[in-house]
Amino acid sequence: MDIEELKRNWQQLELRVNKAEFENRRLAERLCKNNATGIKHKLMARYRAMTIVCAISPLWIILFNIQMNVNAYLFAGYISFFVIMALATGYIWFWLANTDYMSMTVKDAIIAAYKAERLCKNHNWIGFVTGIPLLVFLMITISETGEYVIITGAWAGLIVGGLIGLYIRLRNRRLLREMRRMLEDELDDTDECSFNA
Amino acid sequence: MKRKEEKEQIFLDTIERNRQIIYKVCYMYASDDEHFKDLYQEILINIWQGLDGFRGDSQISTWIYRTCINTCVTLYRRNSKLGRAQSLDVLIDVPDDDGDKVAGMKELYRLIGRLNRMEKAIILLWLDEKSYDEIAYITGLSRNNVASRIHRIKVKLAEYAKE
Repeated sequence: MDIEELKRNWQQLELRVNKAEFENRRLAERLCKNNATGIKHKLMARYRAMTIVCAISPLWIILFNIQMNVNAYLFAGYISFFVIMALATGYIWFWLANTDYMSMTVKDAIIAAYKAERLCKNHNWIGFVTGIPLLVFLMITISETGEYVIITGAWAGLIVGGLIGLYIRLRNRRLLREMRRMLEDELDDTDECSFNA
Repeated sequence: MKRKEEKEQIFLDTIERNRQIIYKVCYMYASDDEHFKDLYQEILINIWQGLDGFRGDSQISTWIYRTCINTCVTLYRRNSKLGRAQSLDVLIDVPDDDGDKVAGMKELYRLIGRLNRMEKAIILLWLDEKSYDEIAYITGLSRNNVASRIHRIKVKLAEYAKE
């Protein structure tokens, strides 16, 4: 294979995509009407919605606590969980909002894409870790009711949920390691590896 | 309203003038038909959103290249290195005036498909006769680094071709 010859042919190569011109016009019309959004904006909208849900969720237990005297640990665990999750989710939302992949160099865009994935996966882990104390306090509260069937079901749910959470965590960690290796391969020169920042 | 119509026309003209760049970058990074369409649509959305901010500091083709490549590297699929589906050939129509030439280009595409994201970006720009300085500007690598990487990529492609 003579790559120099292929390079000469490259300029002459013309690719045609079926119906592309029609699609371009249709997409332009949708963009004009603000009817089409990119993946980043969809992701931002999801994290914004999650942040709002997490931020208003503690209100529910506060109102509930006024009517019924909730276990103090459960109350604190519930509030802590949603405050931490609101902060973690809000951080990703702001990070995405302030990250403009298109104005970056390719190297920085690759690093930012890795960081975005790492943030999302760590967000899951934060949810899992802060959710455990909350669930334990919930279990204690349920145990106090003395209902055997409810207690058994709750413990079974906790164990299954915990195992699923651990599996997801291990899978995410493996994926992040793979991505990190790929990133190191792509930015393999010593003066280019500054993606820890 | 007029402003939006003007923007729509500028957008369509920009896409029309640079469609070969967009197709080639998408083709290089896509793993199958669906992925190609996703990348193509996302690139068009990013061009639309960035059009207002384009100040003409660089050539429009350089800006389009950067937008296309950055879109593709941030929407990368982990399995796209494994080789692309044949169905991409159905989606893309190459003018078939010289069978050998087209076969050579398809083989080149296939081999480039095995490179990593950064290598794909560099070789794409090199194939399009961008200068080392322009490649360095788009990729964020130093000029010397670009030169050494191009050499390494050529060696890699030659090795892939022998396999």
